[in-house]
Amino acid sequence: RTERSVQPPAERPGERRMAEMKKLYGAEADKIQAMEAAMQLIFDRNCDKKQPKYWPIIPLKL
Amino acid sequence: MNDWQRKSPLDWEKYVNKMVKVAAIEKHEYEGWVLTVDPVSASVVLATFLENEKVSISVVLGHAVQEVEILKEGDDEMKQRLSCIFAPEESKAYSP
Amino acid sequence: RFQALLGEPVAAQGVRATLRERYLRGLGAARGRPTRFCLRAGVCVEAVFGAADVGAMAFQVDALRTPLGVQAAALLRCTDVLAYSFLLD
Repeated sequence: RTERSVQPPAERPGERRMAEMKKLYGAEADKIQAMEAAMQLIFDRNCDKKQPKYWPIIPLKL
Repeated sequence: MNDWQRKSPLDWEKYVNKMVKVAAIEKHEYEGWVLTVDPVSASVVLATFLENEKVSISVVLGHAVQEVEILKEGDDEMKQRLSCIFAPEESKAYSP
Repeated sequence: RFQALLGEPVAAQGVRATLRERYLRGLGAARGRPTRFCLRAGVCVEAVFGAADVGAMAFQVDALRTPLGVQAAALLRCTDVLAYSFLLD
């Protein structure tokens, strides 16, 4: 039995996420991922632009 | 996670196109036709048809759902109607 | 969470995709519409739906009408929100 003396190469960004998506959604993973990315982009962009604050300041559920 | 959130997609699918009553925490209740259940958050998306041809959409977040009771099943016409509510513009052009 | 997926029937993937896609379209339909949010402790507020983040942590809303006045832009925590509703025409 051989021991590994070298670490495997670092995974490419998004690879694990893609594997998760494939497990969840199978053939349609790409489509779902695209829809989610589009939605996240809008959310992030809105937050950058508008700098919204949480309301209420103290969470209702602690 | 509550029992509702622990269900499987095949369980949640059984509620789609049904008229349901959703009992939520803090004694809230919601009724409507199930358009979908988000498999990520288990949120229930309900449609209610109003008298003025408008559709009211209610989303009950998964973490707030206590119980979902099926009241009746939608017929083919209702299923067709529900499937078009969020349809992308292209498929609307091609639907009969 | 992924341990639960191991015993899943193959059909679950397609169903999950259909359910998720419809949900994402629903979120898209909400954007820009006046929305009523029912929060915990009987708190209800009205706002214009802005966006939802994919991880279901928060809603970004505009023109939030609070008891103390209107907040131009705000974030509502998903854990605080019980339900929300909007009209389609």
